[in-house]
Amino acid sequence: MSHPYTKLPFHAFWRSGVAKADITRFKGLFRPKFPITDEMSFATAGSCFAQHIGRFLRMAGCDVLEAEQPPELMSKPLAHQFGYSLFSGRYGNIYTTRQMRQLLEDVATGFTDKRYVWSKGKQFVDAFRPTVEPEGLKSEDGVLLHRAYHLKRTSQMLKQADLFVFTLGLTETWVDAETGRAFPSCPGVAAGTFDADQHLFYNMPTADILADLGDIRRALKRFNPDMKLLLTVSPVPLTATAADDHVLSATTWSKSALRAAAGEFAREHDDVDYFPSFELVTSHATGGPWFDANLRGVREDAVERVMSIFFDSTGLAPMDEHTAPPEPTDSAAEEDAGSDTDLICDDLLLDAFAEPDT
Amino acid sequence: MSIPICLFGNSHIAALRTAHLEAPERWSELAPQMVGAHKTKLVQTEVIDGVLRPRTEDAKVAFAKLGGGAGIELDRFEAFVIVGCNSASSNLVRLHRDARFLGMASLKEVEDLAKMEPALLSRSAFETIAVEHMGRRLWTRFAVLLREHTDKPIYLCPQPHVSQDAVHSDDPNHVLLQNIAVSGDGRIMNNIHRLTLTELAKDANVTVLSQPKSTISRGIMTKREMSRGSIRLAATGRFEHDRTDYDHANATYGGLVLDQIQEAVLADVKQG
Repeated sequence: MSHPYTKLPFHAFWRSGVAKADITRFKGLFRPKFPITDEMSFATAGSCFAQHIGRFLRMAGCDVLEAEQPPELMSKPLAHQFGYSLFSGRYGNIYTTRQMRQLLEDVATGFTDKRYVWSKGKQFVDAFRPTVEPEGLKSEDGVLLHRAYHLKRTSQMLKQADLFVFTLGLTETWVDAETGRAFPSCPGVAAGTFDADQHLFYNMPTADILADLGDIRRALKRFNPDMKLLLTVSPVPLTATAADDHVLSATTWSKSALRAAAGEFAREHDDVDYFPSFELVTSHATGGPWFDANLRGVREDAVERVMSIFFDSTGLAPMDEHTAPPEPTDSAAEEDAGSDTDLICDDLLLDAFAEPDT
Repeated sequence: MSIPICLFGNSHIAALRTAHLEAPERWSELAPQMVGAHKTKLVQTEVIDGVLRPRTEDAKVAFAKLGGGAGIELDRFEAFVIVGCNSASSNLVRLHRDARFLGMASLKEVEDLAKMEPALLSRSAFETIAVEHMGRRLWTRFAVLLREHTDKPIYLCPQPHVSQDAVHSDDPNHVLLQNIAVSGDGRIMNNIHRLTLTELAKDANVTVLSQPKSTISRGIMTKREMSRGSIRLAATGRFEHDRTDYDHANATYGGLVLDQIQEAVLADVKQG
């Protein structure tokens, strides 16, 4: 008997594609629609999970763009604290498609507005990236100047990007009642003041996510018409929900909406693909559980597994061929220990402490 | 009666020692003992029974030759001074090379900040980097070591800025320092340097005696009349070189620093 199922490849069947599969490789799970090579320049953005993607791409020697490079003397932990080197731009976490669409529009127009400068104690922050300056800035004008700089630098970066990797994190967001602008966190949490008349809760349905993805794709093409888009969905559950629901259900709803939209959008466009990091971490069939004790954080070995499958599937150099670049040595000890002026310094001391001629 | 104080320093203590040898009566209120130790030898020490002793062979040699003897009995002194010990403003030149913040003179003429080579940082980020970078220097480590064993005042006399004659130097750090001076950012970087040292000094409750303003040129360099310039061969004749020294100050400068120390010690010790 002949029917369509007789002609399907091994990965279309649960028994061969999952139950009996080598789950360290999951052959056939990700079959890139377009080549992803180490000659490309990558840009990353999204929720917390996107930071892992950028990190591993860098470790694999890929060119991961960075709109604002931290100074040489800035240590890595300090750089991260100030929002550097987490994503390709110093935009902080971008949790929703609404935020992403909005950022790309702002990058294109250079939009700044004093309305979106929040107070943090006696200092001020950018409402759309409230955590990149831990202490805040001294003045509202300073915030706006820094925002304008950030948008310009991000624009320069996007023009160079061949592949934009966007990790969708959340559907829940808080928006400005008047303008509809979405914030990365509820006003009053990181900074600013919550006002129930001014700030509205918005839980994005799949249709709205899809519409935003369309706008995002069009916006990216304006920077580089050949840019491709790779979507992933973050497996990290919600910290909390404002959806009047249990957080477990709210998480499933959110992730389902994001996954459905990402899948549908990738299906509709040849230059958009979807990488199943969400499935690899959350599915019962992948060798987990892959979460930390708090059941939210993704374990490092899970991230390694996910990225290993990504590199394997794309043909980028295997993980074990790359080692992390050596951390810059602490030059302080070396500078204390010796310098080009050793001869002079030794001479000076000996001279100063020499016994006087009798 | 003179107040006994102990000064520890790397090569930058030479200026103070030379000044004191030339005119000890100028600082008659102080009875200074000076201990020199190059490189990291000051932290190759330990305190046992109240005596700061060299721990390694290199440190023992340095202490023996350079005023420390077998060790320093800390209780004998009413105050301590750390001189130089990698507290230089030149530690921050690469930061200025790579980054600027709003309010710096060098940004006034820049039309498009997004196109400039140094990154635009917040002042907070700039200062935090400076503090973190300079927090691992020799003087901070020695100050912590001292503070664990004394509650007497500890002062830091920072390494003087590089000589204004360093315009003739091709040393990369000197070139960057010249750029700071030329760009108009000398004064603000001097401030950043001073604030950084003050912040780091809090951990060990150290008082920073900033470089005297009268010795500074263009905000971030030392006036040539205070700098060493070419130096002669050592008395031992062990070293020969023809390098010009732009990093060390002379006895004139050393005397002004001793003036600062005397003033601070008299105020603090008398109040105590």
